[in-house]
Amino acid sequence: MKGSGRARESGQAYTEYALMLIFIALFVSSVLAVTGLDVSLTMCRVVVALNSTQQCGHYFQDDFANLSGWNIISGAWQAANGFLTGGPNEGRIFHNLSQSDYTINLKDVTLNQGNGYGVFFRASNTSAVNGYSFQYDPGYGSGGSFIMRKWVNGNELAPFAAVPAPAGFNWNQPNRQIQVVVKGNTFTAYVDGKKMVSGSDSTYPSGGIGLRTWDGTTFRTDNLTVDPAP
Amino acid sequence: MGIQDYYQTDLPKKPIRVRLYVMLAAVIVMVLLLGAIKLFQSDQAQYLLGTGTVAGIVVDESDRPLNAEIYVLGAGMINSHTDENGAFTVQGVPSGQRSVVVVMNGGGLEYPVTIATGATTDMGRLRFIGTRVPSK
Repeated sequence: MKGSGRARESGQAYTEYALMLIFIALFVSSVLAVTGLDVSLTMCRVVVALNSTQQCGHYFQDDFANLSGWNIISGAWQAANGFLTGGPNEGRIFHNLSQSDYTINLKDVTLNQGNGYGVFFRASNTSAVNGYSFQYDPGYGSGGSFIMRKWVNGNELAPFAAVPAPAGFNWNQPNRQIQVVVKGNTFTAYVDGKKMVSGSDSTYPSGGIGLRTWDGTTFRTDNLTVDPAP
Repeated sequence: MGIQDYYQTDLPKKPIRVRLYVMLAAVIVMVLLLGAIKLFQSDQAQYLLGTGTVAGIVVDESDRPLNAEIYVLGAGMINSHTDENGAFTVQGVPSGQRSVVVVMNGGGLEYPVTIATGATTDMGRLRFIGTRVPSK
């Protein structure tokens, strides 16, 4: 008599199922790592796609009640009445980020005096910074320009992107909105929603953010957020 | 068939179990492959492709030698400096598209260069004009 009464195997062992799930998870994580996708951002975007009322959160946000989230390397920086003020003289202040791609938003920025201010991105080794800066720079060239520089061991290189300001641009107009989009090898800066300068470089794939003053500059900003890059 | 056949524990492999093992093996291979791709994207892996040497002389606008710092970018960062004649030689640079950065007094200029494996790439005379304060 054959095993007609023998109990049939009902399915895979739980151990085998668990192994399968673990390796699938490893595979998906590896794909995300190789493609450079942020796992938490990817999951957030899936949620947003399913429920448009949700939004992905900020990577970083500061309304400048104090400077506890910042590493002051040099210069005069102060948080007072909800504003960050910087300058005069050479000053650099940084905040680390684990993300590689992001959008920096500076709200209500006013250049009170001097030849401009800078926004660092993909910055590392902040005591002798390697990274990039966007500079709102009335002192560059004739009439001022919007420029992007690369930094090597604390030394600023000649701009790899520079666009002269439009005729009649008021550098000291209060409450400008500054946005710097950092995505892959391409970086784009906007002033009051208008694209001012864009540049490309592949030297630094990751790093945090920062702000810069130099010479007679004093400026202030009300709020800073760092959000996922579009 | 006897009782011992009914309670036989070493069941023969079923086709579905073989397919599971094949799928597991395929996933393991893919994970290892993706890990290898990630490795070769790293700066350190660039050295596996071979290295070369880059050389040059840094001078000012009057052709006088300059004492400058030299950085080679594109596969991490290699630091060197010129000698009293303004000359520099940097060995062990991963082959491929790189850039040489000349720095003086807090400002610098970047020069693209292609490094050949096992060879010296002579960049010639690099005329350096200070860039420290164009933002003034």
